[in-house]
Amino acid sequence: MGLSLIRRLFARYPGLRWGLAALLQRVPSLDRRVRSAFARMGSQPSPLRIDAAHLPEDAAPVHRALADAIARASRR
Amino acid sequence: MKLLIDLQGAQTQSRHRGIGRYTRELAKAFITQADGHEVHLALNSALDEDGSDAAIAEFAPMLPRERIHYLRLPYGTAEHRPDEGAWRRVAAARLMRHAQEALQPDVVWHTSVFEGMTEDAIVPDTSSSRYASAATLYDLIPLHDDVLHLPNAAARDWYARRLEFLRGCELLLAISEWTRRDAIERLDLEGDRVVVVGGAVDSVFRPPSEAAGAIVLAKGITRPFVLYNGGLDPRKNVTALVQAFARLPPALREAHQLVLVGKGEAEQRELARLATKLGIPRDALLLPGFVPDQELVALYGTCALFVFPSRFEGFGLPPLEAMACGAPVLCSHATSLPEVVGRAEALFDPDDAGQLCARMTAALTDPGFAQALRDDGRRRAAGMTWETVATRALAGFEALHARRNATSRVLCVAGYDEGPPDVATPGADADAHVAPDESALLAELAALDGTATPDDLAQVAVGIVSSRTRSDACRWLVDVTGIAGRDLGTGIQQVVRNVLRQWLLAPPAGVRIEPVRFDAGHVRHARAYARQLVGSIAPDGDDTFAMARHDDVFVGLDWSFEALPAARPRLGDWRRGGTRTCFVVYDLLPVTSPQYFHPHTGELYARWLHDAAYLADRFACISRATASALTSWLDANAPGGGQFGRRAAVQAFPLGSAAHATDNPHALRLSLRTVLAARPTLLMVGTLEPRKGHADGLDACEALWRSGVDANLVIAGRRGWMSDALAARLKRHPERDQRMFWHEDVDDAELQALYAGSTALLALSHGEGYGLPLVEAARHGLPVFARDLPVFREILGDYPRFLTDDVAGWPAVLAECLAASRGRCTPPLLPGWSDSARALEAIVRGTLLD
Repeated sequence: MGLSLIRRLFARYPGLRWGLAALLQRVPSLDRRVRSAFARMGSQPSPLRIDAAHLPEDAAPVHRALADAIARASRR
Repeated sequence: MKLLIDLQGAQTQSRHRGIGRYTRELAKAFITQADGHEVHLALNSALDEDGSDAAIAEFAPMLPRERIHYLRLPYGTAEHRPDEGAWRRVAAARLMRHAQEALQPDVVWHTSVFEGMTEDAIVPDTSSSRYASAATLYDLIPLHDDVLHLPNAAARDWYARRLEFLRGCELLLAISEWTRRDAIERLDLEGDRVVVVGGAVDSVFRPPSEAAGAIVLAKGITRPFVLYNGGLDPRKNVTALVQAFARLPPALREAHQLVLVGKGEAEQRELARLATKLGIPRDALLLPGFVPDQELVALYGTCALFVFPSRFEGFGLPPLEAMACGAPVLCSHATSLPEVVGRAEALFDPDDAGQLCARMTAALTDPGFAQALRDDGRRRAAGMTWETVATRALAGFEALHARRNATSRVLCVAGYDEGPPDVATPGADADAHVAPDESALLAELAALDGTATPDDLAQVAVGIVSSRTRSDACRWLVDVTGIAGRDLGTGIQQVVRNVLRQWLLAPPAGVRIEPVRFDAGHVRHARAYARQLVGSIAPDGDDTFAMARHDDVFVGLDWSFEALPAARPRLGDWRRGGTRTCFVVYDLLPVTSPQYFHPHTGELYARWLHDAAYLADRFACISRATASALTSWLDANAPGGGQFGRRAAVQAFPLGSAAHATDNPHALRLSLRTVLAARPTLLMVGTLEPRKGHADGLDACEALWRSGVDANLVIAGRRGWMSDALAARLKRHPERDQRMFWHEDVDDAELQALYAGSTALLALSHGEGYGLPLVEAARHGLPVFARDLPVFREILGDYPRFLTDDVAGWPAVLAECLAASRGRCTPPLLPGWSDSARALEAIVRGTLLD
């Protein structure tokens, strides 16, 4: 959650990055910890399997038609 | 004939075994020989990505990319958990049939049917008659010992379904005559449906070089040795070899070692125990485990004898490899092995250790017999080539195709004939986005037993859409992640904004431009940003999730260095499906000049470069200098190429600038209007960070002021990194707001006015990917004093006055020039943004030709 917040803050306020960079220059131990955290953040793989929550727009009509067909079949 | 090769045998874990090698080598030989036929490959997207990448890397040089199809099939269909995903499993088989039919092949050749117990390998359901099905048949050994090979109900059910699939195939390619006869008998097939194509040995297996001796010694082999290679499971009957070795005459046994190559710790322990029990000294038995091909060649080529006592084989590759390497080979006479070895004196009964012992004694003591085995083996192996196997397979397919054509059968699947009643009812098929044949499939899927989860439906929907024949314009998915989040007005964002605007207003011919942005590893459309940029011309719709298809291109226009690592799997997946990628590279300074950046920035940038090198089909650099730096970096850091083992091409394109320099003095803040009119002004434009050389500019101006030259220094740029000392120096400078001005909030209009009102631009940066301020200044005819960087010369030729490395001499040069002239120069001819967009378009189009 912390990393996610940092990522969102950086996206919203890019100037924060330079502030953090300046801070890290002065505190080597913090620098190591933050760098390690960023390495973990960067290595999180995105699952490739398609799920309903991330359905691409192009597939939505077919998805809808399939769900409708199954719903009708189950009512019979 | 259009032939589709289902390449799953080269994608699953089988790719590390004989089936994978057989599939790959035969497919390659087949493609080479199948002149006059149209060969396509199909990969299963649900299988291991590394296997898919390796297959694409291997076959892409042999086939046009559009003939390698990446079928989008559901994940989670492996059968080792039969209670899970029943609907998904059946749906996957239907979807695979649908996807294959969409490619309109005459024949589909399944290279390995017995996959899918522990991996998501699929066979299509057999109800299609739109194409003929064929399959390679390696063996039916599990039917000979189902207790050993099919230990539970799930395995038995799975195997039975796959056998049913084989029965439905119109042609089986057996790898040996024994396998053919076994299939005809056990599957109750007509003889003409099974043809023997045989097997072959890979070209790496040939008599070894002199280096083989060192490899053998490294394995702990110190005297002549008897070799076995293969599995160590009971079917391979290795214990018979250990027993026979133990029974050799004592002097002969003591003169030799026994080397058993093969994986399996438990089996190795068992064999070691047996050897001890039989009195074989510990140093006489070696169990090296798995041995790579190169070392295997050395072992084959230097052994005194190779023995293969297996009870069941579909073919028998290890003895063939040993023969090809020049080893004398003794082989069990079971199943297919006599077909491989041929010579009767080289065969023995696998259940008769005494006979094996006698044969081994003869081979190890009679040099003439050993030499005869060697000569005969090499001769036989030379005739077993992949070309021969491919010729037989091709003949089988041609005969099958001819039979189908001759009968002119037009068979329709019953469900298709009857139409899709479930979804043809009013309302159900009203959505114009669902094609008629898709409606039929949806009806079939709706009638399946079992429960489909929402994710199952999503996977199937994506699979159906991905299998469509493409009729719409291809899309260029243009990354705008950074600028869509926040436009900071950086140089990179200026490029992104201007190129995208050009492309949206006048799209490249036959192309639909779709701005996209990364979102936690996924990719969304960025239509809200596009509307903000060009209004209603932008593509309609919300920022929904995007998918790319074959012949789409992902254009990494923005520099999304934070988002790319998470999105790398997604883009890699798109590339497997035939999407091309082109990344724009603005500079490599964080890695080539790390002293000007925080180490963390360098690490992030290097990570981005590695990801881009992995994913890119092409790089588009904003200058030739950047292209040269990138080429050097790739040479040093990514020599093996990217995802598909191929190095991306590196090209350069020019950046544009505003077509007409505007001059609105009222855009200047009042304080600057006055001072610009009062004395000559030197202008520095760029973020305050060490690389930009602001400190050198300030030093030079201080020297000018000390020598009595009355001039302004105006710095326009936000405060950046590693600039504490310089910022403090500027803030406390005695000339601040007198003759030295630093403004962080200069917008585009005021910057244009500054170019128009200043006397000269100071461009003292230590390194640049381009140099936009110089170009903008040149558009105004503003004289430029620049550090002598190759990229500045590349962009503006001799327009700038280049300063030597003698920093101490700069004040004199500046003073002389300020005194000599305050006029304008003739602006050089510079590319506009439309030129830039067109040049980048040409590079992006090139990805489709690679």
